[in-house]
Amino acid sequence: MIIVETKKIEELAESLAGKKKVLIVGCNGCVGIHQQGGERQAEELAELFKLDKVLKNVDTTVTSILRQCDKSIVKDALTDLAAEADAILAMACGAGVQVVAESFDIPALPAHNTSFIGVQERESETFYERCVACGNCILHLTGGICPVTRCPKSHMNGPCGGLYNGKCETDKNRDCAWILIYNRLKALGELDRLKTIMEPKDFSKKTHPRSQEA
Amino acid sequence: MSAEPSQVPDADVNVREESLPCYQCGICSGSCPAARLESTFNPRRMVVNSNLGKTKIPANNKSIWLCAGCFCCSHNCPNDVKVAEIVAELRVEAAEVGNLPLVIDEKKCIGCANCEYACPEDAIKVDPGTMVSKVDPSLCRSCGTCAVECPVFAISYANFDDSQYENMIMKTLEGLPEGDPKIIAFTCNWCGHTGAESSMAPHPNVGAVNMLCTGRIDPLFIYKAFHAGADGVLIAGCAPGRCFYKWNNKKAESRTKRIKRNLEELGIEPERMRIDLVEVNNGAVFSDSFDSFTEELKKLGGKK
Repeated sequence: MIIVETKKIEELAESLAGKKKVLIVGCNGCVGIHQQGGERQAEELAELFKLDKVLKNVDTTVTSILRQCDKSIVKDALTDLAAEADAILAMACGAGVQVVAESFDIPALPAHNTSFIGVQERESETFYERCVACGNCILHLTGGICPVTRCPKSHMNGPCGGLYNGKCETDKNRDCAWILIYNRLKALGELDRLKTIMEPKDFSKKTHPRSQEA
Repeated sequence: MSAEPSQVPDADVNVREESLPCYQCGICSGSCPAARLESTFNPRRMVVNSNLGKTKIPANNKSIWLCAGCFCCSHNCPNDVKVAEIVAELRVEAAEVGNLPLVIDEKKCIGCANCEYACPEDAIKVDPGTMVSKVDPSLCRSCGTCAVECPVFAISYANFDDSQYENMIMKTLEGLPEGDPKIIAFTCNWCGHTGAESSMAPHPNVGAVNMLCTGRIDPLFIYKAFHAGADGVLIAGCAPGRCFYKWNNKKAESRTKRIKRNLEELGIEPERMRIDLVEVNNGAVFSDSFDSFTEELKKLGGKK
């Protein structure tokens, strides 16, 4: 799912400068599920505004919708509320914010920095990146472990010389993606796969902005 | 994260038969932590009523869900009446007529399973068919942590819902004298409250809000307390590893970290928030903590 990080209050105050009535919109999609931008987090943000020197003067209305990346949901749920506001503070990922922005005539501002596509480890309460949306998936060849995401150099044929005790030279706590792949393929009895040298990736699939037929 | 099941009172008892030896001494009610929290929860009365055949719990009697299955009543009964089991059986009958410990708004629930991960009793689960959370009333011990975890406010408790707690916070704040820094202490009913209560009297600037568990402490309560004029907020919970609800004190600790970070961003000193996880009978720690906290808040001065 899409992982985000809430912007610092100071930055939000800057982007909301001069706005009197702000509609804070939570998104109950990815960011809601990960407790980063759902209805509760929208309420919490409004409550934090009340404690801020500058933002306490902003009149906030809080609502949340099922997902902000769906224009019809956004329009249905927010049209009336948006008519009353000077700006919308959207607690979605970057895609959601843009859908809200193009739906109304008032500015839609991001409450988050969109971090990555990833997963949450509940025990350590940490999010990990797992996919860079390269447009050319090779997980069937690598035991379900993505070297493009999990190797800092995105090596297609690893490991490299920076390997030390199964860890990566960039961070001694980071597992080497290619060691994980080796161990997994060994367990699956598919080590032969490593004998095939993988071609460089087709980067034409990652040119921005991308679109595709449904 | 799956919870090891707690010892749950066996609901499969004949309440009329079990209540026969009761001579109404009231030790059960006197030793009940839930009765301390809510006077309408009265185990002795429930045993007497069972004996009289009045086993039907009225739909509006929600306090029966406050029983957390600690067995203090059963252990203390001089005649070995299985009080906890009687209450458990009455709860089964209450659930049958739709009286439940918590209500899940099915339209709001997004099936995210945060409640399921948070529940220390494995009592709440997302139904794979409907993708909506469902509570097993026989396992729920009303700790309240699921309501705090829910990102869409879909869970509301039968006892002590959000507005009730918010009223308690406001009332407690109003009752604190002007002058010394005002401290709101959220105290866990199991450990913190007993410890803090004994140290309360010499500290008139500290107002306690008794919670069923530290897991029920919503960050919103804390922000609202600060907004309403509290100078400091203290959480008093069970010592590490001794939480009655397994990991809720840990949960409160990690939420505290996040809250402190947010306060710091706002230019509010994070020292204005404290969490003390202390053994139940260690009231002296709270007394010292109240003293040092008051001193620290005096040094910090009023909130900017």
